[in-house]
Amino acid sequence: MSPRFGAAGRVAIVGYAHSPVSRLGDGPLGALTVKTVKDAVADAGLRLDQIDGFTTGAVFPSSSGQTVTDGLVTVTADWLVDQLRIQPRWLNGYQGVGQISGATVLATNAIASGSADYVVVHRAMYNPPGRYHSNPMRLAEGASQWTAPHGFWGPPAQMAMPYMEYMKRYGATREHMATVVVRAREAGSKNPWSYWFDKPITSDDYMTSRMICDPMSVLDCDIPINGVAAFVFTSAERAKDLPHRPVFVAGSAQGRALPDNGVSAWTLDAIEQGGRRVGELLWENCGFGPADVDIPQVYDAFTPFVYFWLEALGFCGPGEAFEYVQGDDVSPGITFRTGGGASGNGRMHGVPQLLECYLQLSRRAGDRQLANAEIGLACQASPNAGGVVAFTS
Amino acid sequence: MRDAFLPGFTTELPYIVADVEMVEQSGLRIVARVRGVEPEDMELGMPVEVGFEPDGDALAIPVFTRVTP
Repeated sequence: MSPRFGAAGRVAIVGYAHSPVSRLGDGPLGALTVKTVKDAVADAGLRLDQIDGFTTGAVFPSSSGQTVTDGLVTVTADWLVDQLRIQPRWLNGYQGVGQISGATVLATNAIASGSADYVVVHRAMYNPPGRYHSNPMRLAEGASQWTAPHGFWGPPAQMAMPYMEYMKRYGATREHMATVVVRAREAGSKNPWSYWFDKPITSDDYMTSRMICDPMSVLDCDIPINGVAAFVFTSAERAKDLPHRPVFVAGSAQGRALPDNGVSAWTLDAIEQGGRRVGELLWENCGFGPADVDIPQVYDAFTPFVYFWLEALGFCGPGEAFEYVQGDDVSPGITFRTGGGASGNGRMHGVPQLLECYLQLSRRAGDRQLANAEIGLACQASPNAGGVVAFTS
Repeated sequence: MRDAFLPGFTTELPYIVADVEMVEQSGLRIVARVRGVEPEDMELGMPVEVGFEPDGDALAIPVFTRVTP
């Protein structure tokens, strides 16, 4: 089947940088972003004055109600180019859910159309002092007037509801998820930039971890950290002159937020239906299917997303993922087996997924390099609302 | 809920909230507390009925209890 995406194989990632990460940051997030972007450009074998396109999805994904100051709590592409003293040909920001996948698609289209020759996609993540989703609000307005009086607030509670529904409907248990989290932490423990470097856990650690909203414990949520990553994109033609093996964009698909996103509970039905649609679009755009994928980097910032993505993309049937992930024969290139994802490394949004995809397909994954990895996926957020980008080596 | 993300809920923890769909209107849902049911006895599709509890001086909020079909 030929890909429906007209720019398949014509745009590539050619370099990256990832900052050290820390719990609360050692300085302004903007300064770390400037340094990391410069490092990524150098890694790609380019000069900063050659970069003529910038984009990011800059949202600060906390429901704590904190004031969002550009350069401190978030770093937009606009703020970045001002600090770099650059006037790019193309400058954009992604507003939807799935910030890395969304920004990647914008960058790909900009290069394919000739709007820019070299684009930097960055993501800067801030961890505020105090608790990430605690909100001091005293007045519930708008849609939250229906849920706040019950203490129902924030992504962990929102995601616990469909995860509970999944467990009740299909018979999954927390013991099943222990496999995913233990393997993710094992992978992250070998990853030098990881917040969880050298800190693997056991099943027992997972089963006895503090519960937040049943069935989710603290270890079902990625740990908030401060950190920045940047990736450099250009055309396949220009990539031939650059030092690293390029990794090509093969296609993508994006979901859309549910109408009550941000306030009410998501239903499992809505996630499954929206996810299936994203899966169908992805394979139509790419011209291949799940059996062709070597490294499916499914999203895992909240662990039930692992199940939702695997089923949405057709790696297994509905209600089968919790058993699918138990096997030793499960793809060695799946998120939690090599890169460690978000639960194994820390809250860098879709960065761990995109980074592992890039490192494996460019043969830069070091000790964990998989032989013959040719096709990868980088997912972000929930399959119904977020996005996924496919890459080829 | 075992954690309070908003002020004023800490002393009540833990408690149960459910996503309740109205029999009267398919797709009309509300998240609210469920009273009088042990967590392990909560089931998908469990029939419940609404009641109201005072919440401070000026408000009443819906809470649900299990009913036998």
